Amino acid sequence: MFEAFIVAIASIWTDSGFAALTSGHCIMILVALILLYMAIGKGFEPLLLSPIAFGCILANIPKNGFEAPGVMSVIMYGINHEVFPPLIFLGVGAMTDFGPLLANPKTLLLGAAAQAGVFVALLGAMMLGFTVQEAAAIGIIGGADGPTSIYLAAKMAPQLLGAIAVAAYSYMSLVPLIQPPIMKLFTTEADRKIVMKQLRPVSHFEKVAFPLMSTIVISLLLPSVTALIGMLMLGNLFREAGCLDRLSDTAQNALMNTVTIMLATGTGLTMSADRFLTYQTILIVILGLVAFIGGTAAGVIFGKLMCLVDGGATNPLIGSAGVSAVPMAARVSQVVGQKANPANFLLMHAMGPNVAGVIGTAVAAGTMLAMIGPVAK
Amino acid sequence: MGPVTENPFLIAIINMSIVFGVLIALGVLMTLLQYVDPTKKKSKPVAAPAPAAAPAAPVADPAAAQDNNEIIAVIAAAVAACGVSSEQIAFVRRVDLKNSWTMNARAEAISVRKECF
Repeated sequence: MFEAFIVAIASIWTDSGFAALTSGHCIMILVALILLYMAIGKGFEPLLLSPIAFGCILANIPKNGFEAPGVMSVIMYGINHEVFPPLIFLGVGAMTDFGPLLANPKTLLLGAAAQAGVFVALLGAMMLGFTVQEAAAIGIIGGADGPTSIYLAAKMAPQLLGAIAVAAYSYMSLVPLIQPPIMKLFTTEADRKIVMKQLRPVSHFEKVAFPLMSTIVISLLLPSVTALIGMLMLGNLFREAGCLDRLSDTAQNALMNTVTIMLATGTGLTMSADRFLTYQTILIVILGLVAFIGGTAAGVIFGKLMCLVDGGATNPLIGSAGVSAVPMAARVSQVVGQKANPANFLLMHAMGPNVAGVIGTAVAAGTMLAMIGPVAK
Repeated sequence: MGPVTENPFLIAIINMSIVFGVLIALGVLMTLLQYVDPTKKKSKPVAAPAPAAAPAAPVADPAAAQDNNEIIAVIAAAVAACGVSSEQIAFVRRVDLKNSWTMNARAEAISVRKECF
């Protein structure tokens, strides 16, 4: 009887995760705990980093059986087949006011200029030996747009998806720390004090026509990003139509929260030790930072150029908001501007390049898909 | 189909040009939207009557000025007797008897409102 008891215990031990636990799994669980501390303890993007970190813990439990059909395989299907990023964009569209952009269309240029960071990182990644597809997926971290990063990584470098998503969301949460020194480096005190003119009111017609017009134009030009741009603008149409408040409310709240749980948990599930604990992950984290710094610097420099051309009507600080990270980057412009001149309110002006950055990143992703093409699955 | 090019500089230049091109095109279309806005055309006639309404007041004023000062004083006294200061009287307007139906309707509306509230 005692022997049978020993055999049973040995059998349970052999089948348990403890028997298959490696140092890699332990390190990844530790990484997840640090991410959880950053999210819950320090408040860095808690809505995203918490489920990502929890998903990471789940992915590093040996013998978890996630390959078998079930809820985890459904979540992974949504990640691998780019289901969640467009759904997130639906919610983002429903929450985005394109009014400041429509009132001041020239700020679109700042959103375009800030995409330079994407190509700085792409260049660096190719020099470090990544393939052209991997470099494109890494570069898009500089767009500071989580869903687009995941969308492109799933198509071009699925093996790097976890590292790219974590780098993108981590740097997005660190925007208030990364951007201000760069903004101050490229502007003078006088530049930061510039007070911008009040924006004109935008009519209901313009707000309704814009999502329709931009969907048709961008999708016809870059069909590969039709899902992203289409859902972004559909969400915005819900918001602006005036008679679709129920749909807008669902897209902004219930659906957005549900998809965020799926997307973030799924991203965490891609962070298994064998895929994440590589030399490439460290390079991706460094390249992501380079991309962010490059994008911010390019936006501010272009803002300064615009300021010179329009006779000092533009505060160059709004250029940094061109790296998407809506609305965090616009808030940073506001805070830095207000430190120089407490009577200055740049938030609405910075929202123009901020939302232009979302469109710019999607266009950059679409162009890379068209030029380089996805990897064969 | 494989990559069009693997030269990172070329990818960067082409891609940035396309991003700028698309966003500039969007900017042009946004500006066009502002000009073709049909609701804006409607709002202009609404704004137009405002200056037209201004001359209407001076028309009423000469009519009031023609009134006998005594009549105005009597009306002011009658209003003051109801507990309202004469300083609160904004204007005294002659009733157009041609619009008697309108005046009747207005009087009835006032009396009904008094009954209701």
